[in-house]
Amino acid sequence: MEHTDVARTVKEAIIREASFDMNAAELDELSRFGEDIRVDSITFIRIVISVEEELDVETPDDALMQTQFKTVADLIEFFVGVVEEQHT
Amino acid sequence: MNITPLRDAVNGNVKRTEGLVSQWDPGVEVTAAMWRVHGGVAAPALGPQPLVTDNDVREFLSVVNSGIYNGDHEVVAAVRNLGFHLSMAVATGEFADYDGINDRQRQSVTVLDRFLSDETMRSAARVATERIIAAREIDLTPVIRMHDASRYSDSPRLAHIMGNNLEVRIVPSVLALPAPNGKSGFYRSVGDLLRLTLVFGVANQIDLEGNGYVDFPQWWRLGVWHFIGRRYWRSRLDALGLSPSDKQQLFAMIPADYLTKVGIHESVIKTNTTWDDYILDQLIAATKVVGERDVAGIMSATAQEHWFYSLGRFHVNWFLNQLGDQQFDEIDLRLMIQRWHSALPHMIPRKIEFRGPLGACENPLWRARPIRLWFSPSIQKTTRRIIKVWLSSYWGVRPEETKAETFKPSSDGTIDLVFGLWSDHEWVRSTHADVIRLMSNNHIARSLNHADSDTQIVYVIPQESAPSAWRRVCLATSDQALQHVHSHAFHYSDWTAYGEDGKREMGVTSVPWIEQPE
Repeated sequence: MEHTDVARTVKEAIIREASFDMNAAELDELSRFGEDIRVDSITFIRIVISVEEELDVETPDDALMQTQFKTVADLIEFFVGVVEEQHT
Repeated sequence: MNITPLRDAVNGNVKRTEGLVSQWDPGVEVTAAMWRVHGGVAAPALGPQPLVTDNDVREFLSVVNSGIYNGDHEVVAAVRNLGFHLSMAVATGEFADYDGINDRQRQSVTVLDRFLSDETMRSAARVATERIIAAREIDLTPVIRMHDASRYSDSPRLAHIMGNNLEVRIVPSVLALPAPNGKSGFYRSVGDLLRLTLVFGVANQIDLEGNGYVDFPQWWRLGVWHFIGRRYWRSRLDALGLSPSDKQQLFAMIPADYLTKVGIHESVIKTNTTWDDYILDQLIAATKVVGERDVAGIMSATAQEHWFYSLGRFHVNWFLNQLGDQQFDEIDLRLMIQRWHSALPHMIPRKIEFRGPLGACENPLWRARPIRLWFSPSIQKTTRRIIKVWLSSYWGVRPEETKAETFKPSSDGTIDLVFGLWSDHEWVRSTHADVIRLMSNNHIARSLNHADSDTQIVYVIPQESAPSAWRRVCLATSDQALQHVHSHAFHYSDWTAYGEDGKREMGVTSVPWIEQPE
C-alpha cells in the first residue's frame, strides 16, 4: 500500500469522525492535534479504529493517546509503519 | 506578559481591593515540562486535552538543556523526588511556606532552586515558551474570565473569613497538563493581605458555560476557597496551643483506613501523617462544601460532599454538621475537636462505601479492583473495540468482556462497566432497578421520564452487595450516542443525561446532607 493511500485514509477518517466540512486534499498534514484539530479522547480513538478497519491492520490498545501524535503527518507515519509491519 | 492590573472589584455585598496578576514564568514552564516528561504522568482521560503534545514538550526541554531532556541531570531527580506540588512551590518562589520536609527533599529544593535561578537557562526557556504561545495564539482572557465568573466571594461565610484584602497571582502554564489535573497553589499572609499563587495548566479549552467535563468557574472558586479555608483553620488550630504529645495521642486514635486520601484531581494516593493534616483536610473540605451550598445550592454542595468523601475525606459529613449555619468564628473549635474524638470510636465500624460522583470512577481509591465489561447485544463490534481501546489507553485497564446473555450486577466486589442500547429491551431490563432507584429522586425524575425513548444517560451507583464497589452504566439510543454520553459526563455529578435536544442535565442520586454518622 502506498504512502498516499494511507495518508488519504487517515485524513478521511479525521474529517468523517470529527465532522469537518472539507475534503482530504484540504486537510493539511501539518495540522496539529489539540490545536488545529480539537477532538475529545473518544473521537480520537474512533479515528484510529476507523483507520484500522479501512487498512485492515491492528494497533496496540495502549498506544493510542492523542498526546502521542503532534500532527496529522505523525498519525499517517504511525499507520505507514503499522501497514509495513503487518502487510509484509 | 502582564494581563490585568490591580483593580477594585465589588462582588455582591463584599467590597474588596482585589489584585489579579497573570504572568507566564519560564521556571514554571521548565518545571512543568520536566514533570510531564520524567514524572510518569499521563494526560487525563476526560476533559480538556493538552494543547502541547508530548513531543513538543520534549522539544522544549531539548532547546533549554540537553541534560534535562535526556533525564540524566540531577535536577530531574530533584523534581521527581519533590513531586509536582513541591517543585512548583520552588518554581514560583513560594517554598518558604513549607516545613516538615526531609533532608533529601531539602537537598532537592536546593538543586532545583539553583537550576531555576540560572539566567541563561531562564532566557532560553522564556524564548521557547514565547514561541509556543505565539504559534498557538494562546490568549489568557478565558483564565481571567474564569476567575471573574467564579463567584468565590459570594459565600457570606467564606467572604467573612477571607477578609478585605486578597491578591491572586495566576501563573499559567502551557507545558503542564491542563487543569484540572495540571494545577498547584500556594498561599501567603502578608499582614492583612492574603496572597494566592495559583499555577494553572492552560488548554485553551476553558468552558465558561458549564457544559464541559469540568465547570471551570466552579472548580476555580473551590480552589480559592481551599486556601482561604487552609489559612483560617490553620490559624484557629494553632491558637488552641495543643502540645505535640496531645496531637500524637489524638492522631493514634484515628484508624489507618481513614488516613488514606487522594490528591484532588491528581489521582495520587497519599496518607495523612499528622493529626493537623487530618483535621485540616476535613475542615477545609467541609468549608468548601459550605461555600458551594451558599453559591450554587444543595445539589451542587452534595456532589462536592460526595467528591471529598471519594477522595478519602470520609468524615467530611460529620464536620459539615458541626459547622452548621454559624459563622466560623462563632465555633468553639476546641469543643468540636473534643466531640470529634468522642464520636470517633463509634464511627470506626462504619463501612466505607462508594458514593460517587462520576469523577470518582477515575480515582485510584475506587478503581483498584477487578473490572467486568458488559455490552448489550446490539452494540456494534466497532463500538466495543473503541470503548475497550479507550479504557486501555486512558484508564490503563483491560477489563474482560463478558459473554453473558443478560446483564447481571456483580456481587463479588467487581466493578461493572455497563454499556446498553435502549432497543435491547430485555438486556437493559436488568438495569431498570437502577433507573427506578434514580427516578425515586425527584430531582432527576424529569430527566428520566422518557428514558427509554430519547435520553442518553450515564450514572454511577454502589453495588448493592458490595457497596465499596460500583457500577457505571451508559444507556443510549445508538452506538454514537453511547460513545458520546460515556465521554461527556459531568465530573461532579452521580448522573448526567442528554435529552433529544442535546440539553444536558445532571445531579446526585442521594442527599445525605443531614445524615449523621452512626
